[in-house]
Amino acid sequence: MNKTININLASTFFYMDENAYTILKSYLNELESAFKNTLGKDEILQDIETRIAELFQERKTSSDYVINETDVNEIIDILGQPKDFILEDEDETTDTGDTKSEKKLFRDREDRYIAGVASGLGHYFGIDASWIRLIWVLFALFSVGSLFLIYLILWAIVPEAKTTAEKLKMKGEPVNIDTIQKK
Amino acid sequence: MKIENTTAQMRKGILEFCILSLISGKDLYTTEILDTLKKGKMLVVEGTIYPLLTRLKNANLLQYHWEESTSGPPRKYYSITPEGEEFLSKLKTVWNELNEAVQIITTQK
Repeated sequence: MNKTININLASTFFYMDENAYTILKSYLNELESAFKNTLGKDEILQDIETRIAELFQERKTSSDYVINETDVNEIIDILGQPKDFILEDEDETTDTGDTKSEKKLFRDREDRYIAGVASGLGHYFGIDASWIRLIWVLFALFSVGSLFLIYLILWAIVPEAKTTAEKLKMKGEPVNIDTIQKK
Repeated sequence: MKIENTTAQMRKGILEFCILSLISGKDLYTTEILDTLKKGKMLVVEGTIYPLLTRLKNANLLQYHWEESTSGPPRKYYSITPEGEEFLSKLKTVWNELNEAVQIITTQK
């Protein structure tokens, strides 16, 4: 025994059996998550639903026809799996990913008291170097001999930003023709 | 390297050109576009076309209007915009140049 479900797809009514409904529902959910970062997602999904309604209509030989599992699977084959047709959108998202460059820790020799460690840390964490210097000084007052050592270690292991590209990376700006020329 | 990936990439670039070219002839609704493309073996799965059409529409190369249908849900009829025509004629030039270039290169031994 199988339950029959009444659905409304693109303002058209259909009867479906329960299995067919479950398959269609999960297909639509897959599409929705595949397109979730795509501009015009709602419109695309609505267009696809309309197409599914059209294909159901072609199969509906009588007014009380119940759409079954085979119908739904055939229709999914016609439309294809999201992975088969979503390629171009992936390209777009990876493009925008590439322009955001990774921030890297460098020492800033152009803004320094000793070796530019504080200003480098400032660039890295996006805060003013004065705060970092203040913290250095406070820590230095209330202890801590090892702080001097930490500074020396940072001095040794953090590279100095020498090239324009390194200076851009230090501030987390993308490295491309425009930004390099601005420097 | 999979042949499917390469052919899919090739098809995808040309698909926009084909869609614009089809709609430039006369206003069409999505299923008519699909049928022609499938007949010409330009399309493997139908789903490919929906994101493309929406993108071309958002780029102002296409526009659409709704029409009632006696046999199913209302249909989206697409027509090409003046920008679309301009875009298409540039694509045509590039296509001809590429076609010629590929001919020359692949026949050279």
